[in-house]
Amino acid sequence: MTDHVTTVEGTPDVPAPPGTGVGGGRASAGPTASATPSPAGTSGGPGLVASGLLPMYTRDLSAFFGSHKAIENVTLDFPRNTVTAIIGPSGCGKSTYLRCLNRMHEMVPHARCTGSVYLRDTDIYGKDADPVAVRRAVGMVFQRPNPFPTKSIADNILAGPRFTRAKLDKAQREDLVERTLRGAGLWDEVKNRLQAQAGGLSGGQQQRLCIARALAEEPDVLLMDEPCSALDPQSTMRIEDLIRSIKDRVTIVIVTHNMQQAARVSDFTAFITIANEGEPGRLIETGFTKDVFGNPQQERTEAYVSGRFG
Amino acid sequence: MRSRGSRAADRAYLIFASAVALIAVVAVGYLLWKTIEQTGETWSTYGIIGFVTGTEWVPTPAVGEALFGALPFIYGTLMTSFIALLIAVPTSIGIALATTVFLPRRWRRPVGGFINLLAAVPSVIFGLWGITVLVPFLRPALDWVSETFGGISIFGWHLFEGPVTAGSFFVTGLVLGIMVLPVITAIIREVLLTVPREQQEAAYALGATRWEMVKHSMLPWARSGIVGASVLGLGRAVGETIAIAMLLGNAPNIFSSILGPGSTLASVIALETNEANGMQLSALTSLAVVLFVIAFLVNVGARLLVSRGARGSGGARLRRVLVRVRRRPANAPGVPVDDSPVGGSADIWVPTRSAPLTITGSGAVSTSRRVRSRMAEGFIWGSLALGVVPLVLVMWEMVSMGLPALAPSFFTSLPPLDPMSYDGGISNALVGTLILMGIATVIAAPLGVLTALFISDVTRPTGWQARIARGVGFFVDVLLGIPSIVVGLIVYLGIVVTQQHFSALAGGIALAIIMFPIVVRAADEMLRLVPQGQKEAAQALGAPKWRVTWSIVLPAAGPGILTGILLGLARASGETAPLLFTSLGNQFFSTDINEPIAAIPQLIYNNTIQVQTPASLQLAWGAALVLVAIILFLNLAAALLSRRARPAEG
Repeated sequence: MTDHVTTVEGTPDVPAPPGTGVGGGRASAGPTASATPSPAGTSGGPGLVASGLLPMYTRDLSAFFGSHKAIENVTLDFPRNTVTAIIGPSGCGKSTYLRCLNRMHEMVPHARCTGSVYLRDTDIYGKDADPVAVRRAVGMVFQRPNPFPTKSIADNILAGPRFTRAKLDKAQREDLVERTLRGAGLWDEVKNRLQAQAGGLSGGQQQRLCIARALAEEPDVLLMDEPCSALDPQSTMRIEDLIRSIKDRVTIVIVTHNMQQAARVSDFTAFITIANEGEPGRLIETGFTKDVFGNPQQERTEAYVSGRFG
Repeated sequence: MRSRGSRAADRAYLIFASAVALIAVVAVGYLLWKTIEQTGETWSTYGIIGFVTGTEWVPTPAVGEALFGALPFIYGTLMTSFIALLIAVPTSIGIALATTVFLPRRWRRPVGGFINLLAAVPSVIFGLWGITVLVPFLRPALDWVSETFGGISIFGWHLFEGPVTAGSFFVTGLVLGIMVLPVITAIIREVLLTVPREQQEAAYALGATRWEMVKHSMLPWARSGIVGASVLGLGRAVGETIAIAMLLGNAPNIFSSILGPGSTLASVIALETNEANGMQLSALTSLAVVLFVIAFLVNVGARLLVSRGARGSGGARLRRVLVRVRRRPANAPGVPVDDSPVGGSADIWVPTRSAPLTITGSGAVSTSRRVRSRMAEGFIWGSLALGVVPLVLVMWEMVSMGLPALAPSFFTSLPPLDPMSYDGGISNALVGTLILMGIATVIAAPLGVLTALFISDVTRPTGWQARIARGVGFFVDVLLGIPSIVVGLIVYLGIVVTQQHFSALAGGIALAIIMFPIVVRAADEMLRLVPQGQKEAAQALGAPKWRVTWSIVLPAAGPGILTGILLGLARASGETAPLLFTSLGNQFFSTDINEPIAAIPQLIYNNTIQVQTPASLQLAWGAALVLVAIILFLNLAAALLSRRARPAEG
């Protein structure tokens, strides 16, 4: 799968970084063209945004916990209907970065960020952006499955729509539940007990239910924060299948510490790391997944993907 | 290899601890037996059903026979408690939410702690405040209600009928609600704090507003804890005595106007026992038994409700009430395993939305959602005000009325015999309270700690020792739930009547019975927190059990146990009800533990219910200020200690 996209040169509103992975870790997951990756850092232009092919990108995003800087100046693009994996050693700030993309980061005491995150043509940190509406448009799946344990399976799916939509009649609700559960590959397993409490599902099923719950909101972008780290290998495989099957409909950003997983599921990979203890995480390299793993440009990337550190 | 000697020492230690625990049980058991004995006359005259359903209570009739029926008091107890919970439960939920979610982070703890201060204000001070401030303040409003809605009747029950009296169900229920508020709030707050962050984030990540997150993530999670907290609050309300005795007006009414007077089980015992004998005393004692049964059932109910919320965790932990209420973990044993075959690609998910979502401006979140969330937040801020305002008012009254009384002579002179006189102080009551606290501590602290050691050092899960330990644990829980007025009555019947005189000793014993279960529970919990690894390390070095307890467990748990003793003391020092017919009170200065003795709570009570003059009220508020200072000091010391108390988790 790849969308046929013409790269638009020139980015008047968004200064493009000069190259990949140099100078303070500015880089771009830019290669959005089908056949040959365009020079990195030239994407993110107004044309792509207007045509809806670039649903999300960040510019110079830094995140802080109090006075501690967790990530610094991360500039990345997430082209439509692709999977971008963010990899890096523990504590490099990759989860923090992800949580900035739907304004969950600010829920942590003393947490803040600078820079910008664009959802299409709107900065989600802009003055009149509403965090509640942002989170409705950008779904999120967490490290540990977190269905509402006392709600039924069906009510878990309907939780989001119940917040945001005026009214759904019974048929619409049933249709939505079935459609999303089918989409999450969970329908056959739970169709006979939609009213059972979600807390009774296995861990893997719970995580797929969480993905379905996020999909029921029909988000533009789906963020996944190490979605398989609490699951067994078999459940992990099913989630990875699921990611591949839904990326035609939603843009996915996945944080993972499992490099095999990144290689298996993602189209693009971004590598973030910290140089020394106490320093912020910086973006080192980004590009097609096969290039980052097969032919890394940066020494540190190579060291990491070959297992020599981190 | 354990030597013969250490084995014998272990045996001796266990036997000693068991003996102490059993002495405590037997002593209280004896008092209970003396009490039950007293009720025989009632049952044989009226029968249990006849007494409980009797609607008339005429102890000293002008003509004809005296009549004793319990129903008016059962009704009064339930009615005042119902009004109290109606006010306290929603308010508590609101305050708990404000202090866990809605207030800015740095305000949550201080505001929560401030609300907790309400719990430190003794019942008698609420009674004083209710009579002198709240009743006159509410009077016009209540008059208006009775004039406007007086005609309304539900199946013949004229709910708001006049005349409006000074003491009434409504005002009593309101004050009672304020009194149980901090208890319920504290528990709900603990439960809400156990809601995992993942659950909150799940809702936020779906685009929930703060209120929607609370409604969908926190409240369902905390539901059984909230119900349990409410029932525990009911247990408190049911046993509450002095404020009700001061506010409700002591009239055995059933289905009367809630703006008129009534009486509860606890209040009638408090008001009539001193002058009762024969059949009336027997009937009052039977009322105490009824009250005890109600309180017991309510407490057991609360425990069950709470344990349902804590299902999945071990039975022993249920006892540690609500602090650690948790739901079944996500992967509890017995849930299905995800073992269906992998592969068979998922059906493709097709979104139906066509227009892109807006994330800016007023349209991003619909108006009806905004309005609903705003209204919910409005309710929460209102609740917070409802919790904070009475506390501020009580504090204000206490300081503005009491401070002028606090001359140096206030602590060194006796109360004036002339109620119009401003000269005088509370020297006898202050010394009396300190002596009573001393007696209670000397009895309850060692017994409590040894009983806790006995319970926790019986490690074998089966056998007679374990059965006794469980029995003692249950007994302690029962004691914890006994209303303080019942404790007073038990000591009155078991000691005062037997000895033929009131005494400081009897009062101290009553307070000790109130303190004892608090000390046992606190010590028990602290002993459990000592890491098993530390005990095993010592035992592996060959130390006998008593040695491990003495040199490892006790030092580690010491500050925590001391905290428990201080908290028990703080609770006991504000009690009035158990002193009414044990230490009785004394106009003069006395340090003799065999004579009646004055106490501060009782002095406040007497000055409020007898002729009220500006002078006598100033003395009462001054005494209230001193009493609250003592209680706050004890609580503060306990809080400071407990900060260092928790032994390091293993």
